[in-house]
Amino acid sequence: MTDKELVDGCLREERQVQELLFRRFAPRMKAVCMRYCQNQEDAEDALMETFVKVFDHIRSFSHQGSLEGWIRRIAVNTSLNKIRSRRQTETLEPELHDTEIGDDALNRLETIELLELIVRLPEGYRMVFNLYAVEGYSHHEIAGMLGIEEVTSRTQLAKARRALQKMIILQKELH
Amino acid sequence: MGMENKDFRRRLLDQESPVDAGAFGRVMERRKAGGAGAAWIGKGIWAAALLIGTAGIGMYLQHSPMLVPEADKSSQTAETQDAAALANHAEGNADKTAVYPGASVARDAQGSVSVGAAGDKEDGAAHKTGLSGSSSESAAGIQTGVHMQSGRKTGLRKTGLANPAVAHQGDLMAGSNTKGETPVAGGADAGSQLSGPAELEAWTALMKQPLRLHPMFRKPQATAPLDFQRSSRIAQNFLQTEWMVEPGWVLKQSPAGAALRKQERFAGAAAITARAVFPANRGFQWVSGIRYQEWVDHFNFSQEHTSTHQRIDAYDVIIRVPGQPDRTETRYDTTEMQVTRQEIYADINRYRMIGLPVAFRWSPVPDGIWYVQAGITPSYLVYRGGSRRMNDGSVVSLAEGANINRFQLHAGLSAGMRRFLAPRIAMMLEPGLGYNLTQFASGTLRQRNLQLSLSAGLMFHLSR
Repeated sequence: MTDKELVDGCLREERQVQELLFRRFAPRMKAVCMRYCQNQEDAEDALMETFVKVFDHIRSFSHQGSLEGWIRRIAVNTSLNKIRSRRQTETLEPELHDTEIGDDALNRLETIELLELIVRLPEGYRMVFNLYAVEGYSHHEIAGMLGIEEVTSRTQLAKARRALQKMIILQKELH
Repeated sequence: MGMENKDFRRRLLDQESPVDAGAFGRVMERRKAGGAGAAWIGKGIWAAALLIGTAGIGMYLQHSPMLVPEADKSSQTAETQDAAALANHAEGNADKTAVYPGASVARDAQGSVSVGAAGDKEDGAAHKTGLSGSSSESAAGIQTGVHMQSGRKTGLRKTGLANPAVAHQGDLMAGSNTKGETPVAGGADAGSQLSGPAELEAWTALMKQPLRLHPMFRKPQATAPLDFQRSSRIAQNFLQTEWMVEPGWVLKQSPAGAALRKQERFAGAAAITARAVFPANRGFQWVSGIRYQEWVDHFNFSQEHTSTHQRIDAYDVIIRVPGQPDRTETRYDTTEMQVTRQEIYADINRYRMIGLPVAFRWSPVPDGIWYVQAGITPSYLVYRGGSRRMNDGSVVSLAEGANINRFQLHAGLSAGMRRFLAPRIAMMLEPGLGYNLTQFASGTLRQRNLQLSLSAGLMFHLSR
């Protein structure tokens, strides 16, 4: 079933099609939510909310981009809202070395390990890192989404990178 | 740094996490519950509108009787009293009374007829019909043998008939100056009037004639002098509704900063407000209603993107070893190049909000041309927005459907002017300055805006 058929079925509120859409995209969207939310419970909650919004607002999907991209953006925004609702002001200033980590080190890491490292990042770092490095948003967009200054977004990203580097080094040392 | 390289992104974006079998059912349940909530909100809005409407009609009905001249009550009282007196006369009690007491006819301005006297209103009017003398103010009508007392200052009217006095909303007493009592027979100088049934009949026939007041005797309405106290009283007695359309400009501020930045963009706003204005006191009124507002914020910005591309050239190498057959091997040369391109983005933000304005208004003259108003509008806000890359038209982050719900508090000052098009309809123009504080549901992020607006609309008096 194509994306268009899925959307049309959802517009007609056909439960089977809705379930098909859910089964197709939910695993990936859960991974997105897990990347943003620090615990499983919040991630699952954000996932539920994401699909409620998808089904409620499927009319506004304009077929200009991919359906997955559209759902992914909803998942990201929903996760951000979820985080905001639980936000505790966190600042982490770890003692970090300015060690450069190349692609090799990154590539050697399994995806799941990478995810674990990202999830371990402090919330502010994690959000900016996910939005910039994974989703591909610009700093300007991130500033708008999170209600922060662009310069703050850049700073958070730099700190997130350094924190990740530190964690990768520690991981290498452990193994 | 290569952290955000393509492979890294691809691996993370393709990552999946198992979802349990019952998840879809939970989504649908939650959706159903949410839908019920939305329906409840819708019903709530209708209920509120109904409440405001009912309150308005109720207030209108409550105050409507005040439009009727107050002297009506005295007319009714007089009718009752004189009906009793007439009954008394018919029963043969006339012999006890040489003069029909309370010989008066009370008529209201609409021409209804009643027999009687003893109203106690200051603004009553006395009209003499065929009597040679009576008092318009408070003295006794000596010649007629009855005491007339009236607060009405609009004058007297003669009809050429001999008897008796016709009082319009007036006090008329026979024999004594006691106000507000049912007239009784007797009196020192009552003997010369209405001495027989014939005269009584003539007098009754006269009463049955509709009274046509000369315009100059009618109660002045439009020309009543406007003094503050009186106007205050009027202001207490009317309810008005106002329907406003409000275009405006929103000066966006930095989410974190308190001061306006010069290069901040402008955004357009439009609002529709329906509000009711309730009377308070001494020129003050309070205002409440419902307001729907929409902002559209659209601007462009550009950004340079630098990306690294790999170019792989493949070529075949033929290897010839003596004594062996030729062998072909494919070799690859990889070169990296950096490409920078400028991309233009269109940023589109749309805020929709529904609020309940509450304000306090003061007019130097109640219901006058000018007023000033201060108020707050708590609103529920839904944000939709995102960016579109203009180079290729692709959507970058258009978050349609991904609502970010916020709460907004608008505090505003406005000055309004009105021009009455009809006695109960006025055209309004209301420039205003407002300050918006927008807050995410979580309470951690805020946005501040200054908003200039110019409202135009119509005002309708429901009662006055």
